[in-house]
Amino acid sequence: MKNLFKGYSGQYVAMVNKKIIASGKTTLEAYQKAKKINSTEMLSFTYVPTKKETITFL
Amino acid sequence: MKFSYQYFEGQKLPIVPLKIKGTSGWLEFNVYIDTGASYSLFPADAAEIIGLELEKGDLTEMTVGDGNHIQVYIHNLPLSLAGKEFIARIGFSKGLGVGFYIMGRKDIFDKFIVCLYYFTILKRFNYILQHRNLYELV
Repeated sequence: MKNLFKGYSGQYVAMVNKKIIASGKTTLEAYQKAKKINSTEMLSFTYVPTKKETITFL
Repeated sequence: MKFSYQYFEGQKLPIVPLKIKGTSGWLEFNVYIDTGASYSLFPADAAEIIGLELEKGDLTEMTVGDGNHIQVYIHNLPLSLAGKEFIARIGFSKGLGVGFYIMGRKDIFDKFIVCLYYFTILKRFNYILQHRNLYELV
């Protein structure tokens, strides 16, 4: 998992079967890119935090 | 059901997969478990991909961690968590200051017992079924 998200800090990624197929600054952007690549399988979205965002007070 | 913590930048975060049924089927969001949040909250653009008209939700105001207030539209949505399907109120906001999708207590923590074992890197979800006005732990 650790390496999977390398290079995507601060972005939303769209995955199919645990493989990243698209990314964007918003969920919508990632979704729109992903739909052009794979419009049939269920998409999974993850926000990849920056280093500062991994220590939170929510 | 148990989930492993997810590692980001050397930190382990309590993030679990939550499915939401939209107009064109199920979508999965990896959500941050926030026991301090009253509601589950997503950025407003997530409503669009789920197929919702954001402003048709119930508008409410919520207080966030820095003391500010944000406007949130609440929608009732079919969810699937730890293999169980149910309806829950989910909030969407243009003012959410964090990138994470937040899983809060409303309509979720009344259905699951959530245990965070930080040192054994396990999260356990036990579902509580309402059956003949009795609650059973399964």
